[in-house]
Amino acid sequence: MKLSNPTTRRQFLKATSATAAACAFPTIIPSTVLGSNAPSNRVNMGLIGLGLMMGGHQRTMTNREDVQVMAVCDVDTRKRERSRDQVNQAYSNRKSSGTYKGCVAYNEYEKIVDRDDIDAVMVITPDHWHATISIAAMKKGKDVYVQKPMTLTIREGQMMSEVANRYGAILQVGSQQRSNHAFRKACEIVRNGWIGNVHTIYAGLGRFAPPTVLPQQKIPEGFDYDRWLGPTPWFPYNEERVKGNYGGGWRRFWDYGSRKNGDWGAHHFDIIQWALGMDHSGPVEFIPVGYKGQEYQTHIYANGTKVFRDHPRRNGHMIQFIGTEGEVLVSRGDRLETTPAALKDKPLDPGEIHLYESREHQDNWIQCIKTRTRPICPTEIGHRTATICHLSGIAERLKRPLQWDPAKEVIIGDEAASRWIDRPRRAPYYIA
Amino acid sequence: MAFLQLTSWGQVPENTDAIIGKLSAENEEARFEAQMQLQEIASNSSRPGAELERIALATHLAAKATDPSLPKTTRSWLIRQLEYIGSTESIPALTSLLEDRDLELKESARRALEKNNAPESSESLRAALEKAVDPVWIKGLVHALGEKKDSEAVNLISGHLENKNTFEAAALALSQIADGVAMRKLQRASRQNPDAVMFMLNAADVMQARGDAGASGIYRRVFTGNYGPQYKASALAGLAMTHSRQTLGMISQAFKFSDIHLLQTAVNSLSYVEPKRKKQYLNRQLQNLPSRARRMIVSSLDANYENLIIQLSESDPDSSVRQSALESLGEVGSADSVPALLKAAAKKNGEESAAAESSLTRISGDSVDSSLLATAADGTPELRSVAINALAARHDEKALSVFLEAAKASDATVKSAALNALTEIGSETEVKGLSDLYQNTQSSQVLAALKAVAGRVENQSAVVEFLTGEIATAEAKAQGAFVEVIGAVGGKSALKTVVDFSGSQSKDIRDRSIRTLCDWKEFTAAKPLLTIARDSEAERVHRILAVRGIARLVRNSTEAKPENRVEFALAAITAATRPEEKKQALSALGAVAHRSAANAIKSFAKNPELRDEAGLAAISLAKSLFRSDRETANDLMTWVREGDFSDTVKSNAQQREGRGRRR
Repeated sequence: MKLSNPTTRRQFLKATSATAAACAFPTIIPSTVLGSNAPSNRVNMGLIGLGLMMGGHQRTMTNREDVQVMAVCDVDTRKRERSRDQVNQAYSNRKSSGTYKGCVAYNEYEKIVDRDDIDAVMVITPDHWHATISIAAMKKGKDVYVQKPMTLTIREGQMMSEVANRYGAILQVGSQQRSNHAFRKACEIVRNGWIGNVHTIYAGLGRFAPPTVLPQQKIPEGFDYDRWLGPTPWFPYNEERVKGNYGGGWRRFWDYGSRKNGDWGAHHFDIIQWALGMDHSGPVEFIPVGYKGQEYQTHIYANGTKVFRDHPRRNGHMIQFIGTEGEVLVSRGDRLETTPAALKDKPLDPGEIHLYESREHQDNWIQCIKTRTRPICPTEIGHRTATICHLSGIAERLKRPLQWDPAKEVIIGDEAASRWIDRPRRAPYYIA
Repeated sequence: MAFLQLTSWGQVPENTDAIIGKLSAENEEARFEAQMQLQEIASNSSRPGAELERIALATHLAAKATDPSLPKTTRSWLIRQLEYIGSTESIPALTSLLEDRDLELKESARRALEKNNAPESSESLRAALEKAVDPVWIKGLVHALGEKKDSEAVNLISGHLENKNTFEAAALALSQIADGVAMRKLQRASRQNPDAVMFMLNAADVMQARGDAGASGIYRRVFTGNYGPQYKASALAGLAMTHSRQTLGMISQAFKFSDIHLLQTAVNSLSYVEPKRKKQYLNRQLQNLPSRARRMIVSSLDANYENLIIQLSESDPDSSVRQSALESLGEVGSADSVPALLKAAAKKNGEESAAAESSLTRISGDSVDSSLLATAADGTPELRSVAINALAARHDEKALSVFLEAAKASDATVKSAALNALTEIGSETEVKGLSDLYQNTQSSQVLAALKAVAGRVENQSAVVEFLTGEIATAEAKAQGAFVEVIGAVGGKSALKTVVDFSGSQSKDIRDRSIRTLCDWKEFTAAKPLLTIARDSEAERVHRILAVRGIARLVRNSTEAKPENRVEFALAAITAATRPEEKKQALSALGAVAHRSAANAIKSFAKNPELRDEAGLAAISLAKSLFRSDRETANDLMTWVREGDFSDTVKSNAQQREGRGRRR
């Protein structure tokens, strides 16, 4: 028997997330969606992946009265024990007894995900572990904060979006520029047409050194290298391969991410998506540097708007929007410049588009966990942004342009490129 | 792409073997370069329309990949290229590699077969699974067959449901295949292993995607069965996708559960129900649902449900539901919601009122502003003041005349709201009205509003001219106030006017003018202030205030040239009659981040009265010059370190240097 009008899961997601987008745009998160007697007034947390990026998250979470860090997890014994001790010390300092030993350290994320007393997890691992852990956590009833880019592959993003909706999880992607005033204002200026039709956008991502072949080194004592590699192909251990480092480390390698496209693209392309109102869609063409003399990596939206990577004309800013009637330049550190200059201070009229306002990204996630409202950067948005990062990377590797159908989420007319929608996973690792 | 030397259509590039030879180079850079070159050749061969070229290359790479005489690093990279471009031609090589003794090569071949689009790739994986013993290897093969949705592998895969090490991989693979046999195997397994329900749901999703109505039955069974709430949530969402008539009933049941994720999914699923049925359901059933469910639902409703949300905002028995409704109206409401929001805001009852006020500033729609204007002009005092506040927050310039009229109201709340609104957004047009009102009332709140408005007028000289005229006819008491208003206007004509008034015969006007100059916004006031500071016939207090005014301008000015600022600071120090003001002006030099300020500060080294102040100014200046002019900054710190300063200054310098080193 056949259903008369079956709905694809992606259509379902679009329907539910569009509804959320239309009606859940609070300037400030509604304070009483669950009421003061909500069971989740305190969020019991597990921290997974204790490298460079987790430091700030851990401090923020242990400092919050409404969060209790119950467990930490890393494949590096030294890191997880240090983190566990830091968490226990932070809580000891707040207790009258002066002692606390409640935080537990694990090598395997599954041990956190399986705990019924943990409500939420922060997944701050390298990109190749994001989807596997996040999906397992959501299926076990956890809410998730996951570092950007949300995924390693496009298919992982589709799976994560689906699971978050199906299991009622609150997932926040760590593209935290959405929670910054200057970036939001820049997007509101663009969205409300104050600079006319935006035809050109520049985004500065910077560059990593190329990935390289590294000599084999001895795996350090207490480091579960096989698990660190997880679903990615096996390579001999070298410290540079696994190092968390803004200038390179694992971020340099294609096996664990989309290099700078994933690293900074997940921030800046995300803001561009927001500004253009494309959170549930995306560009239609990706052109790599070097293709027929192409000077800058480019992606193009259906209306012709072009986004150029690393174009030097940005006046020292991270992103520049150029419209028919003006420009917007925006960067971290609340730097916002506009032409005409008055635009940056002009208040929005009530009838204009007011974008979702979050003042602090992690706090927004915690508040949304409590109120069960949509966070500022949920799965579908994170997935669409990551898709741009991944497609830019695929085009770069294949050295040819890609045509993308953002509605069907397929690469058009290129079978070999389409294989990159997902990557095969090294046994015994897979996404369940 | 010099290394891409294609010979002819369908042939392997000539330099391929040379590149392959370098894949095991001792030198890591050379090895990496060869890897990238081969990858580029492979990528290029996989371009659309170059199938013969791809086949030729893949065949060649496959032959090399099975060559045991080649080093493992070479073979591994070759297999990886086959993962990206291989098809039928690569199957024999990859199949033989599944038997390789090297586990890494074997596993790489398995992944390449998983991505291989030729049907024969499944046969190879099945054959390997039949012989597989190692659980890790079994998992990999099972997973690959699941990814390929290989129905012929169902019996083979289901054999691994028995082993707890391979159960999950097998169940996942069967759920990806999800044909009749796979479903029977999964159902049987789920009777023994409750974890299998997750895979039943996966399978139902696969069935649903291909239009198989059997999916609904699985979703229903899971939802009504004895399973955890997360599985019920997933089943409910799945059912919503099938447009089943039973969905609403199940959503209703879900709202009775306490699990927050299930409630969340129920709300998500509700948005997928046919609009007419959803509306009927909410009208009839919403009031019977628990308050937590009502709160979540009301936060998810769109503009089609405005009347229902208004009703909830007014009459729901639970305050938090009313508050959520008021918050929602700000997003989805129209002019129809304005009366309810005004009423709620006027109650001044904490969070509900705050929510209503916030929504009134955001709510959009054609008649919202006119509705608010009507209430601001003619309503009860409570509603009028709320409407005025909302219009001001909305920067509604159409409301300015209403504000001006309301500023004359007898009710203190309305009057205060109107003056606050004018202070916020009043424009040049309101200057005359406010000026008249001030002359009639002499109210300090009116004067504050007038000054605020004056501070943002565009046509400054016209406003100054108007206010000068007002001074000529105003009562003596109001004249001084109008001088201050001219000061608030700022600019060239205002400065000239106030300077003129500073020589007035009227003591009050003269005093107010000089004080106004002392608070001037622009650096242009420094010159007339210096004249006053130097005027030995001026009142002592005015001379003191003038030096302080110059010091403030020197310290804060962003528009004046640094040299000018230094010049006026030095002149003010000379003109000052008391050490206190000399020190203020000297201290201000520390804020002028320029080399000329450093020289000026150092000129006080031998002045025992001002030496220490100069030392402190030098430390402050060194701090601000640290990044832009490190040479001058270091010079200043050396000057302080080696100079004849008090212990306090020395200790301050040491602390500063300590911080600099840490940075």
